[in-house]
Amino acid sequence: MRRQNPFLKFMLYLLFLVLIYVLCTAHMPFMLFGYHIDLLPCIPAAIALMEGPAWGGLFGLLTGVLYDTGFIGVDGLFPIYYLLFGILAGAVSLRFLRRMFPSMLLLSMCGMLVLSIIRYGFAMLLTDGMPFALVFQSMCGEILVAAILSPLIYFPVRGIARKFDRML
Amino acid sequence: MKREDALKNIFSTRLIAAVIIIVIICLGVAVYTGATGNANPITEGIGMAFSPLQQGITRVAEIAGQGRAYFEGYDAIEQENAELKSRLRELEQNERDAQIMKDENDRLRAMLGIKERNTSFELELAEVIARSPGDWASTISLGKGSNNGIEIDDLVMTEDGMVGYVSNVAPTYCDVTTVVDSNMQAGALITRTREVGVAEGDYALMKEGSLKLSYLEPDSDVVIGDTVETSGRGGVYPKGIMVGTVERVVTENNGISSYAVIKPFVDVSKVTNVLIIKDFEVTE
Repeated sequence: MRRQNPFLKFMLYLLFLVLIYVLCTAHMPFMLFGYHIDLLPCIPAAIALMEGPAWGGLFGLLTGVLYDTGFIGVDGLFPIYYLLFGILAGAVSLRFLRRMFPSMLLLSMCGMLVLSIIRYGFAMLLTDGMPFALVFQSMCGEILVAAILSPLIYFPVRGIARKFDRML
Repeated sequence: MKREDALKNIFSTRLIAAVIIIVIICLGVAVYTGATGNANPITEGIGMAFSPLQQGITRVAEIAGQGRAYFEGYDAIEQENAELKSRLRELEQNERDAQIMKDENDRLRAMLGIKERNTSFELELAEVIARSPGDWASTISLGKGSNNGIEIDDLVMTEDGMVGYVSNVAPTYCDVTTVVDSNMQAGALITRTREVGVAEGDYALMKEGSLKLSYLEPDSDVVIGDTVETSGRGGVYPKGIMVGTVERVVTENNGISSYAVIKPFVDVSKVTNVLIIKDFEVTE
């Protein structure tokens, strides 16, 4: 029986996360239904589903740090959100969900929805003139685009997870 | 049962302690960056490490975009080509050469014109390497940073007008808040009437690629088509940099003031090369 190599698995997930981050932040004019493509929230969801809360939390934290890198402003809040999201998603996956695509879709959509509501709340505190209808439209658009393209995240993550499952 | 055991094992004291420590560190970072406005060294380091990668991907995407545009417009180009061929028979080779030279000359004059008109500007050419993820902000990253003398609040422009200003600087790259971002604010005036206002981003207008010129008088005689430029007040940004044209004028809900919706001269989603004004002579 071969032992699982968590470092190699970590590196593969990390490389995949970096690749998706670089693609999502590349300055290219490609949009889907008028929305920019942002698949980063799907990664902690997929990893949490496959690996559980510890890995979900770890990659949630890393996703949050990458979000901080991509945005200008206060740092540290995205890592907290995605860390907690990853842990919660992993715990829910262990307890209630099967390791299949609809489960990841559900987790990703919930994660994006909650984040959008929190962001809207913060934005309302700091500025006015942010109409909810427009935010809601943007939120739905972003989630829809992420849902359509989420197989691009799910299947590679599942591939990595299964590869290392077989090594157990 | 197995799953419940796994859950119990995972939520060990050690993991909970680790999570609490990470959350405290993150909150500390949030307080530090929020209070000081300085960049977090971790994200700055990551940004520096990824900027060459982002630059490469952006270049590949540009080439792919050009290829796509070529195939999408192929039929139209073919039809246009047939028409042009009949016309081109009448033209001499030297006329074509002259046209090419004229186009090149115009472009170079436009670029040179910025320096000629503004002799006090110290400019740095930079390439756009990345953008912010998602649709919540409109910021871009440039491939030049503090190693090239870039500082926070340096104005970023093209030969067409203002792109935004530098909000965050790392040694090898910098982040730019674009004119349409909801956090953007700059003193501006209407070129024709010299009426001053504040050019600022608005979330609703960001979606349509516009911004607004706020705090105009209710009896302002601004009209559609008026051009808006930076006012230079306060000495943070140079004056006379074109921002955009007035699309419509709207009275604020309070009825005391009005604002003009401005369409920027520069399409920030398509800009690839920009000029950063590192230094300028303050003339208020």
